[in-house]
Amino acid sequence: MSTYKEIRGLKVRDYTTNPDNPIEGQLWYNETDNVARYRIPNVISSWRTANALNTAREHLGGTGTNNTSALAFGGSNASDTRVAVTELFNGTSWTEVNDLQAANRLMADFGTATAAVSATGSSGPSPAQTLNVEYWDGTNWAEGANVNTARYGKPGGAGISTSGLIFGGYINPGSPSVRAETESWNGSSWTEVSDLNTARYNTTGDGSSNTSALCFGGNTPPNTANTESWNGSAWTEVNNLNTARRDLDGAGDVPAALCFGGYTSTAVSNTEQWNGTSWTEVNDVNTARYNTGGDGSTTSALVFGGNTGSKTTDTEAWTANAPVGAWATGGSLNTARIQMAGCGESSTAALAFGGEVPGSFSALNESYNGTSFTEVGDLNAAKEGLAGAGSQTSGLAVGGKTSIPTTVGQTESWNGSAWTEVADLNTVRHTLACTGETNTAAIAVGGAPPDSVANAEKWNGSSWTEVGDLNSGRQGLGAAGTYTAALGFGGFNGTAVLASTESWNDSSWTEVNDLNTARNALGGAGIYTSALAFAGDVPPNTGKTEDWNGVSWQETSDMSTARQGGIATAGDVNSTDALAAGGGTGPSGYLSATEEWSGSSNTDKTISTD
Amino acid sequence: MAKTYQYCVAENWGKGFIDHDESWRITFKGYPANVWQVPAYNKHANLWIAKVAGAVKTKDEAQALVDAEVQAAQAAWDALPEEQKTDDNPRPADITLEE
Repeated sequence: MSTYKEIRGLKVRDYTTNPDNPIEGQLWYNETDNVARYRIPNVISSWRTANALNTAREHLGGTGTNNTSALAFGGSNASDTRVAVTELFNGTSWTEVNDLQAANRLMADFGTATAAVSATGSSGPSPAQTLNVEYWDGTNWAEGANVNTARYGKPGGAGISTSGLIFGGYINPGSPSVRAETESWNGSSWTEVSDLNTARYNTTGDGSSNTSALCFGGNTPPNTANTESWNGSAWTEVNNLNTARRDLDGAGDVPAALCFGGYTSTAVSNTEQWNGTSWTEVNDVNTARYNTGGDGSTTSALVFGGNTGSKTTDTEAWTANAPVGAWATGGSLNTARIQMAGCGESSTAALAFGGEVPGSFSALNESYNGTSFTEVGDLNAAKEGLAGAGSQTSGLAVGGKTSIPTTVGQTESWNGSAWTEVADLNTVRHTLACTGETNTAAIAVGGAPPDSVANAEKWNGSSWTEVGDLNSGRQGLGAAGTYTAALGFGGFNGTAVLASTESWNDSSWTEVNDLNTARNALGGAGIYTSALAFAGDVPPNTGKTEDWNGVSWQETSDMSTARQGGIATAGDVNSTDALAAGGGTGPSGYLSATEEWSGSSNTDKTISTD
Repeated sequence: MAKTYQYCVAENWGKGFIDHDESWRITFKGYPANVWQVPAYNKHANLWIAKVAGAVKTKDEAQALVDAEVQAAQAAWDALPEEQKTDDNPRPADITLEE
């Protein structure tokens, strides 16, 4: 029998209890509990919203390999009319490309975003079904070899553009109408092969070629959970879906597939994962829907369009085994403060400055090294409601109030040892946001003098220049990014607490997807493609945290202490490392508590020897 | 009715009080008076309370501690000059702990 050392090249080390800082994958023996333990990363597989199709539709075709590359074609638009519209997804957005030769819906589909097949379907008035097949070469659709049996009712499709399979479907008039025929495509012609064991329509399937496919769900009628596996010559019954349904979609292959959405007696959001043997329920699609387009694999998939009660443009992306982040308490501030500001690169290199202590404003500045805060050079002027940007050695303190009625545009620049007064903002303001990497490159945005403003100003190291305004004036917003590519999110516009997010491209602000939870006086960290929004006042104060992937916000692990109002934040690299220090919380007010964000976390598992 | 949460009093000493693993395993909520809410009947929560030497409180005991702090803060706010009772400095709100 092999030993662990022979396999891994290491011995299992004994510890009295557990090692202080085990690394991911480490195995050890706990002598106190007499068990072996190992450390694994915490991960989650889930759907998150992505940018929407341009044309709302159901009964469409969809092909692709993952959640960054997909093709959507045909379908029924909002007025239930067949369309030929084709859209290409690049991981961020959908773009209209060349149409199908003929408007079509309820077709079989297979292939990728650059080489796809739209086979048969419903493109005529009577009979509806067509023999036609169209082939996508990455630029255009062209008609090619026809199938042998015309059918619609969304036959299943599997494979790639040179080796594919279609199966099932519906013929009207037909005897029977519900079909089991399977046809194999070899890149030049279609050949009839063995039928499905269970005839069905409005089904789905996946597979890598004309010798490897899976067919699951559909309408026989009634709705079925039946699953069959194709080996190149025959269909074999395998384990059923947990939820029988029709009008569903799927992604993957025979060894590993994903089934999502569909219709039972209503639209469903259920997602199930196939491991080659059985289906297991996993995290649902966020919006229940049926008659969608879909593509990808069990690790990276996309669902788009469909019917949620009406035709939709909604798109969602599935990512498997994404790291789960978490907050941990860090070293506390020496002086608890609210309405302060911060800057820094990470949770191990940050500054926290200014703010309000009971009864007065503060010029205090504290430096964090990942363990504790140390007092360093004070600001030249005590102030609250200011904003911070830059790094631990090259920072900016911008705007704020120097007394209750006095709002200022003061800017102070930090060189790693002292603050120096530099040129003021053009528009005095407090409770603004500011983001940037150094004390020579930052953008200040929003704030209140006292009404919420939309002004944005860019700092070049010597002066502020007015640039394009936010679409929505606000104060108490969060920000992330650089002075050429930034995000502003949340805040308060004088009437309502906001969830809206705006993206800065060095020219103008554009509204993008909203936060899930509207909030004021929140914290922000990261860059415009990978950011974190945390804490704030909903009201009440919250510890909710959301991460931004460049397209949408997703809720992630909460802070342990809800807080709002002038949190000193740091972390300008991405959404995997951030710091939140101080701020206000409920009635206690002035917080010194600090929390550190890590974009990944681990769990220690015990090996059972029973 | 089985309770969903348990409460303890523990002073946050900073780094290591709640680590990333505990934060992932347990949903923490911190309240005034060093009151912490964690899931009831949860092994990891119990281990964390032991680690921080938390003093376990019933929900009513924890509520009383929170109420005392809230009421003190409300009294302090009430005593503020009117010009300091602004929109961005609202009166501290009552907090109701969950069962």
